[in-house]
Amino acid sequence: MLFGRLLGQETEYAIRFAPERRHPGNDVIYDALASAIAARVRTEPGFYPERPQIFTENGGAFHYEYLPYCAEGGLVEGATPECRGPAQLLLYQKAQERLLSQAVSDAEKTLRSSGYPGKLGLLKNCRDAEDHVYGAQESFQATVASGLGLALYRLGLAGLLPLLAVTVVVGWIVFIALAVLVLGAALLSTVAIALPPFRKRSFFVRLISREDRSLENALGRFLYGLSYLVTLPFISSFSLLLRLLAFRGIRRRATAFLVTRPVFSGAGSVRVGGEFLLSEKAPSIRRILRFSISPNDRSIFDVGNLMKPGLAAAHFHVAPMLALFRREQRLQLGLADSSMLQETEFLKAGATALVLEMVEAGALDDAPCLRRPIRALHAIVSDPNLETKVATDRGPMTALQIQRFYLERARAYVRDSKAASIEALQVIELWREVLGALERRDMQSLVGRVDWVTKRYLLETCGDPRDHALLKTIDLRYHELEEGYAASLERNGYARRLVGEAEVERATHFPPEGTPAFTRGRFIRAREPSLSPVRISWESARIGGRLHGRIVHFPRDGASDGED
Amino acid sequence: MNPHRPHGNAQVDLDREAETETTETGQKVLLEIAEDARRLKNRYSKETVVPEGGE
Repeated sequence: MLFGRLLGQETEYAIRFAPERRHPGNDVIYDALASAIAARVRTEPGFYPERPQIFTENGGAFHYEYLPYCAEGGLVEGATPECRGPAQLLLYQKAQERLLSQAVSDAEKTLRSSGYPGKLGLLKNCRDAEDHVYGAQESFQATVASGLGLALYRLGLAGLLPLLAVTVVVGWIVFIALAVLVLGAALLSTVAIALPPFRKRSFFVRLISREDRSLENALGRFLYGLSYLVTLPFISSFSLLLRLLAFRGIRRRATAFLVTRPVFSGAGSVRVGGEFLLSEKAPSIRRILRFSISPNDRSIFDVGNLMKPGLAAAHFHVAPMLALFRREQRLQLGLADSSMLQETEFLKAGATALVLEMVEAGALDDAPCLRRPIRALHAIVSDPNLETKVATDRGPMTALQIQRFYLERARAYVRDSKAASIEALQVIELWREVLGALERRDMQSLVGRVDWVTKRYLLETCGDPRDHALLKTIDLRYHELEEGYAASLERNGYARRLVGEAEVERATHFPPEGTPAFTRGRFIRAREPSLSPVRISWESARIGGRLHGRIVHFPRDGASDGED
Repeated sequence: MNPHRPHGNAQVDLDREAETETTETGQKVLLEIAEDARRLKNRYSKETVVPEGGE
């Protein structure tokens, strides 16, 4: 069945706060937003108490994404529930944005009453004015390997378990030693705080202060570096295994599609000096496959999600690690801009799902291969005229020629499919329209349909090429929820809405059927608040305390409940 | 609800037309955007900086 695979998106939203007096940390703003969401829809907290996260009754989640050495500088991350098909994904992405948009004004009031009056906004973008990169990741259910490759992958994974066990033991020894040191220092500080000469310089006062985060951040940086070193042998070995065996077919046959996809999925970006690029995230991509847990290790295929289950073992959660032995895994794409326009969002997910479908069906065995994919990516996104040719095994090709190859294959595949759906035909039709307009250089027809074209149009009509601050403001403000320029175009009828407002509202409350999110969402909706405390993860819920609680597993197809 | 769709609770309408497309309205929207950007240009970039990117 076309579009039978699960797909989802994680989107990081930059927080904009214009204070009237003082700026709270972004963690304080996140807390206000999470409370506002919880006041509108039913929510339950995530599994890990140390990670600020809520799951919502539609099966999605929000959490505060931050690095341990910058706790006050994080982002709001929204994750859609698992969906089937691009239409459902678009609907739940819009539901997520609606929840956040509604939460902004409520959170603003909460912050004002807490002594932080100011203007709050959220930006669905991937690159700020200082070139910090964050943003979206797309997930697709995919076959990690098959046949002999799968057997070798599983064997390699099993061989890594002793190394993982050593990593966990060493990690705990280091953690306990550090905890003793920090507690000792805190105890000394508590004593010192009682003595007037030390009162204002106390380590303890600085450690617990939410105003001065320097010590907390320094400690976080140290712990982050230490955990990086402790886990390095396991992560490196696991990365090598993934590089050798995971998603080989997809990497071989879909990379050219993904590298050229920004011609319709790119959000556009203004660089210092006024250069315009098709994509916000693409210039920061350095590898095909991620190799480490460093957030700066940006790749087309971001396998960080497969590395995390190994690290979860440090919390004595072995189920996620065991899940890595499954044939079907979540393939995460790091080369993904946040889309503002609904047609782009729908086409991006739909075309990618079709390409993965074709790769796994063996229908793309002769797909073009890029000689140097990362170099090709950087060249393609640097050329808004779309004329650059990149080296492939079929000779030099433009991004549009490569996209044309994939589109024609997809048309034939859908036409010949016994289970073709209207949704698949809609994806093909939209892909054909957009690619055709790009080939004809009919950019005017793509304003309000393709993000980078629309942003470039606004830069040219509302900006001034000599005024970088103005251009950058248009670039950034384009992405603000509710008050941004893309939202304004949509409100005024210059960008098509593919899903209705009533459907979006309903999707903020109800989970998508036939997915793992269905049981998760239904569980959250049905729970009586007076019962035992609950913590939710993507796979399960824990009812009651950590030691004696009961675990309820959510079935992977969303069909029925399972308990142990 | 379309009976041919496998996932009944989501469907897109590609025939949905943009609602207002007069040149006059378009100019008004563009003028508003230009004005808003000029008003914000000296502070918006600073207000939206993320100290350390996530992921």
